[in-house]
Amino acid sequence: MDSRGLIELERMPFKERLKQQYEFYLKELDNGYMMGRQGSGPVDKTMQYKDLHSDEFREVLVFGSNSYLGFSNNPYIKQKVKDAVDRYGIGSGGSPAFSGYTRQHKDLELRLAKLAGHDDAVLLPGGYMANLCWVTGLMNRNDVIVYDKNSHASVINAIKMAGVPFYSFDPENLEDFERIIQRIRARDGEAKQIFSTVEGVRSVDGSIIELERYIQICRNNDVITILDDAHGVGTVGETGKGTLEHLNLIGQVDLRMSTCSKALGAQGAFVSGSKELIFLLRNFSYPYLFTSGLAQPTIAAIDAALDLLENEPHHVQNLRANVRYMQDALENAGFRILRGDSGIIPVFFDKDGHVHRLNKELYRQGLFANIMEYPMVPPGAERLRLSIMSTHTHEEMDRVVQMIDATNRSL
Amino acid sequence: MTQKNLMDTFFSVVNNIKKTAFSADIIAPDFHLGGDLGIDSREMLEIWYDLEKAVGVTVPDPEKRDIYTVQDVINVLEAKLALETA
Repeated sequence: MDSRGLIELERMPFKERLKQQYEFYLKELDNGYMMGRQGSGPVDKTMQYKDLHSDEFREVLVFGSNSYLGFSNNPYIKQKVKDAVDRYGIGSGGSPAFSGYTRQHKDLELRLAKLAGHDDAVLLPGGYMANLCWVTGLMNRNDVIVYDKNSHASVINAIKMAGVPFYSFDPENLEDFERIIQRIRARDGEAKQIFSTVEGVRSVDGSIIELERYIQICRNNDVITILDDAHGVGTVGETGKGTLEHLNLIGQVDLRMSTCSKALGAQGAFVSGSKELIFLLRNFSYPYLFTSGLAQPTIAAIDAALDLLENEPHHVQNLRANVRYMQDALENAGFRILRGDSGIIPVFFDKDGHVHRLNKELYRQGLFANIMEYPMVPPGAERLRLSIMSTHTHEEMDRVVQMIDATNRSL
Repeated sequence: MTQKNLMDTFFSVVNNIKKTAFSADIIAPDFHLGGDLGIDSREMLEIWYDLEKAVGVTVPDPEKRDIYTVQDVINVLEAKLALETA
């Protein structure tokens, strides 16, 4: 559906809109739209999946999971969670402002803060909430934010909620970014605090921008920086601390947001920063104040994942080696990819609509992968988005390259 | 349609959707849609829809990407009009 169709749909009376949207969605499911797929069993490199209209689960190779290190089904982490349940029970019983804040929450927050060289952090139930937390907790209509045009929908929603004036910029065009900053300064002088957020490892293609230069521009112009490192923690950096470690920039951004549901294999998210900034969030940010604290099994899972990052470097090293192996294999098979350092490998296809048919066929043959198609990405930039795990074997990766190659030729 | 007419049409469409009172006296062409006019990407799609109807042109979705300023919008509309009258 193009934007015209979307607007026409939105302008219909509600009951008609509901009927149209429901019918449209059902048709999309029949066309292989992925929302209809249902997995079974632990999230791992092979899983049982079934389609919407089927009762039969069948095994697929998973190359579309954010569990980059295989931590969502790691024996050590599972044992630590079981122990924590025996010791601490399940739920937190309230929001952190009331009864839902324990020593386990505090210890984990401090541990997560250290990953970015920060003083403190707040834990939230997910990445969406974490972005709502820092935007609405720190900013109001008297400030201004300049955000990466690829920012997550939650950042953009939060900006609207906070009523903060906003500019977007293309992270590949830092000259333009600097011009926007200078323009705000020329107009408002020092009256407004400028904030800026950028993605570390980009979710669309796994690449990383010139972060050092971005930080320098922000420093020169007294801009408060927030790094969205949802895909960076656990995947890049010598010990998996994320984009800041990878680029030797630990301690160089004011705030860092990341999730615990991707490489760390659990759930939740955190925002880390200076003592003062986190104090503000802890005491004045509604998404933090009015949401129950994380459950104890989740805290234990994140904590155990950090143990593994610290004590078993082979997880991150295997991921890096697997990414290189898969990149080489795909290029040797003649595919156009973007070589990044994270667990995401985009495989590009020029023909619009092709990637949708390809993915549907690959799934039928037993490969679970994700795609990004127009309008998520520009026409001509459609891609199969492969997510590599540290637990994938060479044999599995070879098999996937062969499957993609054969299926691509047959279409 | 002249640049001025296009600009007036643009303000009329934006004001109708955003419930604002923008005019050429207070908005310069290099003003940013987001930072200066408070238009987000979602609202911009609706603004495009009404602009296309008002101006009588069709702008394919791919050409609506990476548009940052008022002048960027006017340029796209002008180019479409020129094509249609060529």
